[in-house]
Amino acid sequence: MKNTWKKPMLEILDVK
Amino acid sequence: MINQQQLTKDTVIVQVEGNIVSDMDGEKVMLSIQNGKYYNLGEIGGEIWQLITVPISISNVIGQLQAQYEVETAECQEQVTAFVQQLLEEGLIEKKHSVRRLE
Repeated sequence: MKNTWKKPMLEILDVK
Repeated sequence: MINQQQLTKDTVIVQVEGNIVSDMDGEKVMLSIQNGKYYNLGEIGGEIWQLITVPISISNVIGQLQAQYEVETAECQEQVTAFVQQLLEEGLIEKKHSVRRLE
């Protein structure tokens, strides 16, 4: 049983 | 620094040094010492990050992801290549030589 695929995203966090 | 380079499935990529990575609730969060930015790689992005600790071709990354996840080759290749391009533009990875196939 394979895992569910999710689109890989690179989120740049703004760490104010 | 924008690092616009053409990627193919034979392109070999590897992490650059100088990143601090932590697991947070199943997702990978990273601080780049070089540019001072924080990144959330997410779950799949974290898997990709693990795979590129050593030089590896994009096609090899895709193959290993397809072994773990239910995804079509074309969709996986398109999305992984776009993600890798982002990593490259942020200076988080570098390109090595491309794999040359002997026909």
